[in-house]
Amino acid sequence: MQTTKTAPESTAPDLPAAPAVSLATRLRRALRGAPLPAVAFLALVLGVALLADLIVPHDPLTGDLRAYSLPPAWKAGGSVSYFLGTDLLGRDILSRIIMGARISLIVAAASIALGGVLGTVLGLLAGHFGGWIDEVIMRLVDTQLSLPSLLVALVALVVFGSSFTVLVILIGVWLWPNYARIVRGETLRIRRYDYISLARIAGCSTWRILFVHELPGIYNTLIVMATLQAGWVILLEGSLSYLGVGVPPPTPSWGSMIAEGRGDLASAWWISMFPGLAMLATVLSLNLLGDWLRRTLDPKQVNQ
Amino acid sequence: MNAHGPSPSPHPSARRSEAPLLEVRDLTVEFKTRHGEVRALDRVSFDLRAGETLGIVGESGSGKSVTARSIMRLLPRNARVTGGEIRYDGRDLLTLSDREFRGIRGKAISMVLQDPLTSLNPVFRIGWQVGEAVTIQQGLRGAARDARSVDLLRGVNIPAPEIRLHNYPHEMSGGMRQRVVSATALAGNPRILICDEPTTALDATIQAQFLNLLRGLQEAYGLAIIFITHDFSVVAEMCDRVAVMYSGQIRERGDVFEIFDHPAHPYTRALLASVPKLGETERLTTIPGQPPSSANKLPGCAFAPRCPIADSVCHASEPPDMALRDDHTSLCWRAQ
Repeated sequence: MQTTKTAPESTAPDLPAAPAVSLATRLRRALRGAPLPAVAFLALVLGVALLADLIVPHDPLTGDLRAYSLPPAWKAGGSVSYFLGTDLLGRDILSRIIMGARISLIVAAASIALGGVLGTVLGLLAGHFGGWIDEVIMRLVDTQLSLPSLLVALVALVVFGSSFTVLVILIGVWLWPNYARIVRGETLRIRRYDYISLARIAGCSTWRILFVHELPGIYNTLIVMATLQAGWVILLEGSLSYLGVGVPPPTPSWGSMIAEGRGDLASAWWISMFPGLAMLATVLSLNLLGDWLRRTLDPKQVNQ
Repeated sequence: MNAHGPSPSPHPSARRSEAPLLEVRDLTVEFKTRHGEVRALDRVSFDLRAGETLGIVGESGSGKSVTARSIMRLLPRNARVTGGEIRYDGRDLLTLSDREFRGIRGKAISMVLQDPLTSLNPVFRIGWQVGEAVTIQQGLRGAARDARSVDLLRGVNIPAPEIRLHNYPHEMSGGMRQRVVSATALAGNPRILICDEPTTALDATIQAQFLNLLRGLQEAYGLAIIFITHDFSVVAEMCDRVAVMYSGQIRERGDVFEIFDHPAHPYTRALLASVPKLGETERLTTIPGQPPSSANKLPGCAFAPRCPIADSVCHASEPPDMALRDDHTSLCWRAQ
């Protein structure tokens, strides 16, 4: 190896070797400025949803008719065993909320995954290729955004029958235009950067450019968007279940639980109230987390 | 691959061989804009011979980068090559399919882009980006790829390349990043390297080092270089031959000494007069007026409105390409 020495360029001084950092420290750094109550609550919901089978105090599906419409434990006539009370069929509210958390999260995750992947791929194609591909995809987006979504969803669920799969597909298809729009805009920006030209010079195929070089620049936007939409999807699933076309009974869902209690709000308010609070807190936490992620992951704001 | 550092070399014209490696003939490029079709390149022709350095000089918007990007097929979406030929190795590159062209881009002809700060993908480490080019261009994987990446980085004088592989672009200086870009561009062992204002974004001292490096690489790889710049002093330092562009046309081309000693086109003379010279205390000469907007073309020579010696013929009809001394042509009615 023959190397002719040249005047050394003033390089950036080597960064000092990073001191060994414990996991706890790294976690604390990553979460700096995060809305901790929201994060903690979401962690709780996630944990409860994962372990639902193991931690429910009672069977969430079959009730004990002798204990129907019991008030929460701290009210007169309440029982510690049914901490948040029971519904009209004697089913434990707490157990059903725990099961409902699992349903809500699965619906949210599955439909966002479906809509996100669909919208991201179509948005990438539209932004990268432009021309008629862009026209077709964006007109599809416009068409879908101009439909009265809730009505269409109601009709579709009545026609196809409400099942978990139909619900997920429907919400997923509902979500993709938002992703397609955002991703298209980001792709239009990224594809003009010189590093995309350099990737071409390096020999990358069009598909490689799209999915290996352009897509990673959009991840942050996607993460923020998915978080903010998770709350919205939980609300939407709640609305559909409330209207009776969501997750089919007897599977508990927060929306259907609220619906079940609406006739007895005066006498047994806890049947609707606690699932409503669970939904409120979860959606609020997701929105807080999403806002924080947006602030944190946006490179323009990081530099300030 | 031996890494050759740059060393002072005799003027490269000694290496010049006569058969052109790349022939560009009447290359015409149009942009679709809101104001209709705009001609960005108008019948651009030049040759590039093996091992030589051709400078393309001109002010912003004169079509230098469009020339480079149309050779590399990296034009923006609204641009279209509407005429001409780009011949390499006996083939017209414009007739190749995109798939066939990928056998040319990076392998036969490669390019270093203008801005090192945006030329590297911020989300990947240096080693990943260079390694990707090595894998695609040479089919190397694993340890062989890493070894080749280190060689490439060492070849562009990056100190401690084994460590630098693990850096992200933002951890490196502009000059270092431009070297990484060069290493990536050279991964396919190209015969032609197009440099689109590679030093414009760099400090003066770093610029000189990079030019040195480029000369060393030319020697080591036997590269023919198309060097695009707006800086005549860089041309003098780097190039064997030079083409001066103005409003999408090559106005004058020829041997670099010939152009410096006997500039025939008034635009070239004006450009040379506006280069600062050491020891002179007079104010710099500027060229009056603005470059023409290619959207509303007037009849006649495009430079005529700013030309000190334009006469009625110049304003009335476009000048022909006048052959002057050997290999020296000028697009001007009044070329002498």
